[in-house]
Amino acid sequence: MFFSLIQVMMRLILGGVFLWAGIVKIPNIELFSYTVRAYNLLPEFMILPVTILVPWLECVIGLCLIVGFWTHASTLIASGLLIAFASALGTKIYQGVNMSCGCFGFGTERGSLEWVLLQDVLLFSFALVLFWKQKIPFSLDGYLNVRN
Amino acid sequence: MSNLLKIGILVAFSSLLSIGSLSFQKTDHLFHSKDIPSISLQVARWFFDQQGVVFLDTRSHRKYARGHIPGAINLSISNFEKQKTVLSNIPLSATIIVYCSGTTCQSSLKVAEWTKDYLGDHRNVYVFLEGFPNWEKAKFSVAVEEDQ
Repeated sequence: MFFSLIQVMMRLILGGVFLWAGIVKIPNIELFSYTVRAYNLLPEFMILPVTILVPWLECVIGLCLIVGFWTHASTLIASGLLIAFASALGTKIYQGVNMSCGCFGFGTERGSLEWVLLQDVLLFSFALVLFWKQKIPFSLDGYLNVRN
Repeated sequence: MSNLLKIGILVAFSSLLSIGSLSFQKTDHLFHSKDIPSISLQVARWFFDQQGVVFLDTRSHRKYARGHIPGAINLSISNFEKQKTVLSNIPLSATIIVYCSGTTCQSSLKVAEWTKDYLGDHRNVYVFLEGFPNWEKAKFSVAVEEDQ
């Protein structure tokens, strides 16, 4: 029971973070495109598709994780996004660049990228735990499995 | 249903939402028809808070002295040929944002083009079309030349 609650907490935190990250980006797509450009890692032709798709993908998987629908698939996508983001952060840290990460909205703060990377790794560990657990407690997946 | 298929469905669904969202979002700035992309006031403000960003003020020295974006370099269109060597001092990794007196003036576009010609096409050069009047109107910080 205790581990089930921990799992639910992890799912809600992961889902909440993704949903929030997506919601703040959607009305600020233009700013997000410049954040993606500021990382200077993607070729120009990929900037537009990434800018448009990522916020909606974050929202969709955030919602799926919160309600526990297709949890494993959502967790895999979340892991992919977290790995991509961690690589971008790692590159910027290695290059010694001090910039705002642009993860949640577009505050003018130039926070520590190391701290953001640490949070990213923590979320990735949540995703791994959720992926390896076959049963997803208190979820739509669980409810649908019982019904079927 | 396999996880791979679910991932495909989630990504496709997000793509549909993204494409649908384009119809009600302001995306002019995302699709650059010219070589020099323009940025909005909000984005210019965001860049202002980042490191490695250089503003070029293409207005006359008189207007520049009365007020300009802090840190901006004055490079008026009429003095470009004489003073373009100042561009060589801008670090290679820096983003250059060119502005003038708003949408009615074209000197920022011209200087941005010349800057790219002078420094090379690979340099990140943007035009802040709304220009200094809108920056000032938004009550963002302004620097004044001391000996005026």
